[in-house]
Amino acid sequence: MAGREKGPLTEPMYYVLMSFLRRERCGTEITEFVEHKTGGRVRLGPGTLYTLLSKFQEEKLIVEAGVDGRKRSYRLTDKGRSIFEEELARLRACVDDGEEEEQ
Amino acid sequence: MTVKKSIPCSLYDIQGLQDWLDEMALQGLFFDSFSTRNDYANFQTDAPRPVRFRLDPVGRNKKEDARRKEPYAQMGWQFVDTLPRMYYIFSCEDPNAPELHSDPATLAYALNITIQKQIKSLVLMGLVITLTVAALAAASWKYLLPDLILVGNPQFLFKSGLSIAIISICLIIDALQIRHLLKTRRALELGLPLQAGRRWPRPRWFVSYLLFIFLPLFILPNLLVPSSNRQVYSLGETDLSYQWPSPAQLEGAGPRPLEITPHTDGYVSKNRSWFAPIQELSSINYWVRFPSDPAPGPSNRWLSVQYDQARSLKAASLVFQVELEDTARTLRNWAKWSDHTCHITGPTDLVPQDWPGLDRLAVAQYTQQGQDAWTFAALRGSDILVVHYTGSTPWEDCLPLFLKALDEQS
Repeated sequence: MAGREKGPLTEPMYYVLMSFLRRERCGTEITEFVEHKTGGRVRLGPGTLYTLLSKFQEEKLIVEAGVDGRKRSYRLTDKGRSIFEEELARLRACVDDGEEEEQ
Repeated sequence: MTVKKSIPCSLYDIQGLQDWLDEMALQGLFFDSFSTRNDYANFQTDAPRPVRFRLDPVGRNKKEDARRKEPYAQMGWQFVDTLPRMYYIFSCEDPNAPELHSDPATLAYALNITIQKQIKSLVLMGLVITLTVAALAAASWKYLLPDLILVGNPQFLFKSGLSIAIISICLIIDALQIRHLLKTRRALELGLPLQAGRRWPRPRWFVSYLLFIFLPLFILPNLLVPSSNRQVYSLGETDLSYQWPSPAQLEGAGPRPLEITPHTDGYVSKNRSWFAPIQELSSINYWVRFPSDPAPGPSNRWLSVQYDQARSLKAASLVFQVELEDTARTLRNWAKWSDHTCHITGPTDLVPQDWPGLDRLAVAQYTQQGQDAWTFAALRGSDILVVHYTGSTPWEDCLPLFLKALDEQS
């Protein structure tokens, strides 16, 4: 993944990173954001969500921003933002290539 | 009501285990917990309905894992039980709730810790077993080595070998299971869906113990392998490789030849092993009485000849060392036995000696039941000879007779 010797991000990874672009979020907010953004196409299971949060924290793509009772919020780091942008550029290139060939 | 069912698939088969628990729910059996040995699953009975059971790989930190239970519950997934160092089991009754793991690549990542924990546990178990076996072997080496070289107790060797084989097989099976988990992770990384493995009528723990441990270790060796290879004969019933000097000949070589031929009694035992294909022991008791003696009855004397022929010169050296240590141990034991006919007094150490034509020689001289006695252990080429003698002839006069016997039929 990030960096990105492990290959491109999967859809859930991409959308979870995207969810932090504008503000910090907690688990429920991330799930809602992803479902809303994708029109229900990508649904995050709790196992996937919390594994990703832990993985992104480990890779320093996000950091814990605050704890309110049992609610934990996370925010994107510069490294996380740059990984997201890299992936966005890759996806744009894919789309451009596809469109170019279609014309 | 609680129902107990044996698990019909490998615990490393994630999809197989999930499918089975889901099927049980459709039959009205709702998974509750695993047995201590993880070979049974306990179910609560209720009205049959679709409930999804999913496995969530354990994380690095138990505290961190415990914190997940609540958000999981908010998303419809209730914690049910734990398979230590492997997975947490969650269930979901809401058909609209998303899958616990909706991204195969993320599940592959989550499996890393389970795999690491399993490898660590296997390596640790392998190390503990290896060290335990090594410590046991080191502690019993002085008994084990003679058994390995001379195969005095093949049943013990068979059982020891079988135990090590069974333990190794168990470790290999564990390693193969981990390999299966590694394959599963690889498939998930590629985005492939999980595949359920083969199911089997998993035997109950007791049955597997009976079939794979008790039967091969405690019953079969007793039926198939004798506790001793030794064949025992009475004197004269079997031929020996060499015609050893008789007690009368030995006494004849000494300061006081016998006046009458002694009455003899005894036995011959034969054994064989890979290192020493010929192992012959002849033990002869004889009674002598000199008419001139003031003693009222005959005195009891003893000759024991252990002859081993080793497979090669190298093996002979090994066999000689084993026989030498065994003889030294025997002499020390005899010195301890106070009320036994074997009781000896005096120095019991086998002292190395030089003798022309012999590769090695060690001799102990002592008193047995008030009479002069000695023991020698000799190595010549691939022949090993250990002789105990209670009589009036010194060992220096008897040894040439034994060497002559060896020469005559070599």
